[in-house]
Amino acid sequence: MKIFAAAALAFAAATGTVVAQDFPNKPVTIIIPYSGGGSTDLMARSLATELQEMWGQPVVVENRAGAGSMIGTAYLSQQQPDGYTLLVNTAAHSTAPAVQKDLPFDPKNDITPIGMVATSPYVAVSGANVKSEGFDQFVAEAKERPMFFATAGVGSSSHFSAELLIQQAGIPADVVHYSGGGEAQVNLMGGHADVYISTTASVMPYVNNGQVKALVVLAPERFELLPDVQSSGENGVEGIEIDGWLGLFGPGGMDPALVEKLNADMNKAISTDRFKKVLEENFVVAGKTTAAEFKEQVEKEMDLWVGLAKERNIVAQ
Amino acid sequence: MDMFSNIALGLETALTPINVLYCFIGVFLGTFIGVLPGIGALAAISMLFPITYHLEPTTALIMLAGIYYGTAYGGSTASILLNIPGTSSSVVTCLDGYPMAQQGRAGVALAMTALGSFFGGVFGILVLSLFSPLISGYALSFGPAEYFTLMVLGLIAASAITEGSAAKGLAMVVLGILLATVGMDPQSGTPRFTFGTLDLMDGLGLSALAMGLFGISEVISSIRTKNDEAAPASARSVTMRSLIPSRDDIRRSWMPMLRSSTIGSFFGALPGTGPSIASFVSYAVEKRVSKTPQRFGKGAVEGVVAPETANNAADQTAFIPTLSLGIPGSATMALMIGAMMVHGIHPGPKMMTDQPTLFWGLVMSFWVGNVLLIILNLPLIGLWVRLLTVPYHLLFPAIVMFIAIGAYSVRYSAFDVLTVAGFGALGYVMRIFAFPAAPLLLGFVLGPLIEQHFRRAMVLARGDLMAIVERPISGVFVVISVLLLGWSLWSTFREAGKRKLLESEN
Amino acid sequence: MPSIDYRDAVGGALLVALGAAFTAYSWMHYPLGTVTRMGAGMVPFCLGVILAIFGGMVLFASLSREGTFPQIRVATPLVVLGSVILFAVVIKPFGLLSAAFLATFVAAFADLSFRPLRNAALATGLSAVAYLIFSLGLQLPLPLFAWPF
Repeated sequence: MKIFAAAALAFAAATGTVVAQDFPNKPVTIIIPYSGGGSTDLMARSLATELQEMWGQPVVVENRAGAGSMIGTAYLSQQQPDGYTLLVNTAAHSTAPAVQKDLPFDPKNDITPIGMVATSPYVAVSGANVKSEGFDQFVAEAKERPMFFATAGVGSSSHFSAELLIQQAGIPADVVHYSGGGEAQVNLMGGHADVYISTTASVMPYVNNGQVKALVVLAPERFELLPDVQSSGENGVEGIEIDGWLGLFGPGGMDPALVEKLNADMNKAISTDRFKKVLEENFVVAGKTTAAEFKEQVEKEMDLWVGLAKERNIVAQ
Repeated sequence: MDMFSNIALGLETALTPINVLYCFIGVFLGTFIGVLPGIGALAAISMLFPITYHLEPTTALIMLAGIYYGTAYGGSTASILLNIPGTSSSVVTCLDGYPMAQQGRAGVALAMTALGSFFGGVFGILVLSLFSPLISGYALSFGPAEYFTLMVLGLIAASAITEGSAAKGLAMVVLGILLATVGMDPQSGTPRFTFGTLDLMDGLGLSALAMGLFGISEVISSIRTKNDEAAPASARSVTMRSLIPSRDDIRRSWMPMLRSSTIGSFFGALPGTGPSIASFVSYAVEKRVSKTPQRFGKGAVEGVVAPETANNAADQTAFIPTLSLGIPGSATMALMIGAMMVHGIHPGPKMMTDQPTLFWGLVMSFWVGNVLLIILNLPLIGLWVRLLTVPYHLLFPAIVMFIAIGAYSVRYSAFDVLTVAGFGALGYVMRIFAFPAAPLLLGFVLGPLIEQHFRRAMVLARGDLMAIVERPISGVFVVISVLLLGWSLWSTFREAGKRKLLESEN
Repeated sequence: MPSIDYRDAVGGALLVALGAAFTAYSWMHYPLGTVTRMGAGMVPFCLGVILAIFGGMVLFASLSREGTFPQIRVATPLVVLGSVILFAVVIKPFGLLSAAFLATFVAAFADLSFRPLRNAALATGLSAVAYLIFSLGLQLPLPLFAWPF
């Protein structure tokens, strides 16, 4: 029996599949599919720092922005699935393919989801023109004066979550597209648009500055880090059970053992005290998934958004 | 008085040896990067971003900011000496800067741009220090309708840039707007003219356009082969004749400096607009108000002072929405905000009160930086002018290399480099047919702003066109636009009439 | 045959063709919408028409005026553009310094004086400069040399 195991191990080593043992033995690159300075960029860099310390190898960050994160993701899909090129992305990973039909890669098979770094529910914030304090008041106000939901762009998670909320809560509203969350929230502050939905990392800086109001979290229950904000669930809105998240990905066809190791290492990295502070600052909680669970969630969301895109006629062209 | 204590606090912070050192490093790097065509502040700050983790927040910001506004000083150097813009906000400086160099007045041009940059920078800092809360509040009231009408006004005003045939100039503006439609349409998500390529989804880059259209095409045109007649020596010779601006130059320049500083400060503080637009509009304004507009494009010192003053003022006031609202007005400002967030600092209305040391330290460091820059740049003028003596056949491969690397470094995309080549080809073809390139850039920058804001405004107004006129600010812009357009058309017809009269007399 | 300004005639005609192309393509592929509810195609459609009109004006004006066609250089532009394209092709597989060297080496030939040794020396010097500025100075995370095989 031992001989068999030894032979199997030798065979595996010879074919290079037992990489999990000595990974990493050279620098690792993490791609950020956005330009520098945003909340995703900063959190990914923090993760890179943690992994670098853990592995003792340089973990280099590369910004490859464009096409709503699809350019960086396309680049990832072309790299070797040896674990030395990884990518950190938000839920845009599951929303963008629902809108962009001609991607040069297959979002499900050419990318391997490794694990969830952080998560929080989506939060809807309201701007200067909205008088309501709570969600119930808001729905009433919306019935009097149809609202405008700002988005960070067609196919962004802010777009899809807005459509979802509008549909499930039956709010008379229209969607208006901006280029990025910053521009959207500026227009909220100026009273030109009314609501913007995004992850806590994106909106909390403005909420804390008092520039926009946190209206509701899109979840069945309240979010533990924002106990004073109502949830859509408690207001009787059903069918909203998706959260925003930040995830780690690799190219398609990665060895399952390697994926498990990366998932384990990642989960260790996000539980350090230093990273916990980063999570706190962004009002998110650490992800707690196995690679398989994460993959399931990502694919479930991809299907959900494709369906919603068809129903609400979001499909571009 | 509160302001004095703020200033004192700021100076105390800004003048610590380490902050002065990093300020110097920042402005030095910024100038250098500005001089190099191809690589810009955004790429440089992205590359140096990791440094912010290892430095004190104030120090890190001082350095990054120094790079940012430093590039506006250096950008004019290559524009004047080589007709190749160092940054996209220095494109307009080529129009009169290069002719000045060809007339042997390169030193004067460089000196005046340094002075103008300093004036603009200082003006911008004053606006930032004194009026930040007021301006940021006002900027919030600019919604899509206001942006739309303002950009239309900017387009009408800046179309004065066109030299020669109006039809050609306006055609180029339109072509610029058309080129800007390439990419995913932000309002509908439809990819336009991308032919299935993912790389084109975000459109053609401004930097690639400026470097290709102005840089590569200039290199192609300027190379003298053994088949060409020998280039007239004076075009590239060094005449130390006047490195010092004459009294006449200064007399002509101070009003443009004032006006351009105002225009630059305005566009800088408005998120989404910035130094490039400021440089165009200020040049056009100077040309319109000048009693001798025909000198523009042939070496008018105002044509060099105006854009350089404006872009420096804009770079300073770009910090207003960044610091007091926490909103990035541009990708570079997003990096600045990121640098602050790394240290747990959240810019916003409370920043002035919660983080006065950082805020005023940073603002005062702008003073320090601008002073360092003028001290740095004036002596360098002699060096740069001497650069002209380097034979062009040694110089131009370097230019090509810098442009190529600069284009690649934005997002490590070989496609972006190919884009530069494409624009280089377009630029050369345009030169053959005498189509002016500056209006194309104008259309490229303003076009998408006009279209997107209009469509957004229509969504928000639920299709009511009159809403644009009914809103107070945008209504004012509409009125000014109509008046300006009317005046332009009237004076064009009057000119045509005068010419007809002259011709018929002969 | 009366002489016309050939340069502007051709130039104007090119603009007309370009404008027509934008308009036609937009009409065929993108929804136009209405003025107040614009589709993706409305702006390129209208602007293509306007461009063609301006091109027509240039063309029309050229017919009553004399002018010569300017000399077009072919070799120099091709070499310069070729060097930029070469850089784009070489940089990923072969690294920054290889691309810088090759691009500057090729570009140097654009003045059509065949001096390979001088150009190679120049290219080497410039590659060193690129290394100093970008790799050392700005810490650009680019591989200097790579071999894809």
